[in-house]
Amino acid sequence: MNKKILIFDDDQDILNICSIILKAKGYEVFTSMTCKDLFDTVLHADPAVIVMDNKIPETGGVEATRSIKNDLRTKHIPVIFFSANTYIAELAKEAGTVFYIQKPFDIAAFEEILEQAFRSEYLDNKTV
Amino acid sequence: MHGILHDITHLKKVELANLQSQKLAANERLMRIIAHEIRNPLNNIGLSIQHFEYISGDPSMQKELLGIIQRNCTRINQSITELLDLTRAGELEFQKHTLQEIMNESIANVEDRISLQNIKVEKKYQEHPLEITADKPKLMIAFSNILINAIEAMEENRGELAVSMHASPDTYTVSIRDNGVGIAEENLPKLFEPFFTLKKNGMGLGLASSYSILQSHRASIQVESRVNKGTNFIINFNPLAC
Repeated sequence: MNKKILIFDDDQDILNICSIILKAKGYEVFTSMTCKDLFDTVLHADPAVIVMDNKIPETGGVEATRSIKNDLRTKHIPVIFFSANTYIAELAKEAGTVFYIQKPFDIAAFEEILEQAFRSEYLDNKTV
Repeated sequence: MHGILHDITHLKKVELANLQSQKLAANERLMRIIAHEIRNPLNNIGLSIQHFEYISGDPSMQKELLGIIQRNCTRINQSITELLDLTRAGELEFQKHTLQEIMNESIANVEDRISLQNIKVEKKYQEHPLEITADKPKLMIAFSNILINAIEAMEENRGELAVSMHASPDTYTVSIRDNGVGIAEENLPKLFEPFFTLKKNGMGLGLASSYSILQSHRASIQVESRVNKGTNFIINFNPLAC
C-alpha cells in the first residue's frame, strides 16, 4: 500500500512537525511551501493522500485543490483541507473535497482523517 | 424667497445602519484574522508537545521539538505586540519638522532596496518648507512602509517612483506613486486592515501601522490604483491641525 503523503503549507514549522509525527508512524512524507508548479510537485511525489493548507501561495488552497480534482492525472488523490479558518467546512466544499480538519488539531484527529482519506483512496483504486 | 425642505431623517438612519454594519463586518474580519494568526502557531506547539512523549531518550529530536515550541511562542507574542503597537498613538512625541525633511530621510531609509531593484526616483517638492507638527520617527515609519510597498510592487529595472508634495492654504498633500502591479479593486477596502497582505512572506501590518500613525497626525489617506499600471498613495495633512 502506498503510504506517501504530500503536505502543502507555507508555514515551515507545521511542515516540520507533521513530517516528524507522520514519519514516526511509518508514512513517507513530502512537503511544499508553495503551489507554484503544482502538478510537477504532485506528479513527482506521487502521493496517496494530499494535505492542503488554505492560505498557500500562489493560488490558495481552494484553487489548488480544484485544479487537482479537475485533472485526470490527479483527480483520484484524496485531498485533506486543513486550515485555521472557522469556515473550513465551506472552504473544503468549495474546493471539492469531503476531507478537512481545523487547526489546531491533535495527533489522534489528524491520524483519523488521514486513515479515512487513505481508505477512500484504496477503495477508489479497488473499484477501478 | 422660496425654498424646498426635504426630511432626511430616514436617509441619515440608513447611513448610520450601513456604517454600523460595515464596522461590524470589519471587526468580524479582524477577529477571524487574529484567530488565524494565533491558531497556526498554537497548532505547532500543541502537536510538538503531544509528540514529545513518544521520543523519550532522543535528545536531538527533543531539541528540535523544543525549538518549534519556542519559535511559535515567540510568533504568538510578536503578533500580539505588533497588533497592540497599532493602537499606541498616545505615545507620540510631537515637534516641528518639515515634510521634505521627513520624506527625504524616509527615502534614505529604503535606499538599499531602491538600488537593489534599480528603481528610478523622481522627487517633485514645494520649494518652501512645508512645516508640520509631527512625531518624526513614527511618521518616517508610516512613509517608509508605503515606500517599501511601492518598491516591492515594481519590476526590477523598470520601476519608477514619483514622490511629490503640493501645498494649498489648508492642506499639504504628499503623493507616493509607483508604476507597479497595482491593487485589485476588491482588495482596496482591506488594504489598511491588520494582517491583510498580498505578499508571500508579509505579516500584513505595514500599511495598518502607517494608517494608524497617519490618523494620529490627523492626516487622511487615499489610494488610487490600476492593476498592472500602478498605485498612488495620496496623504493630506492639515497644517493647522498638526
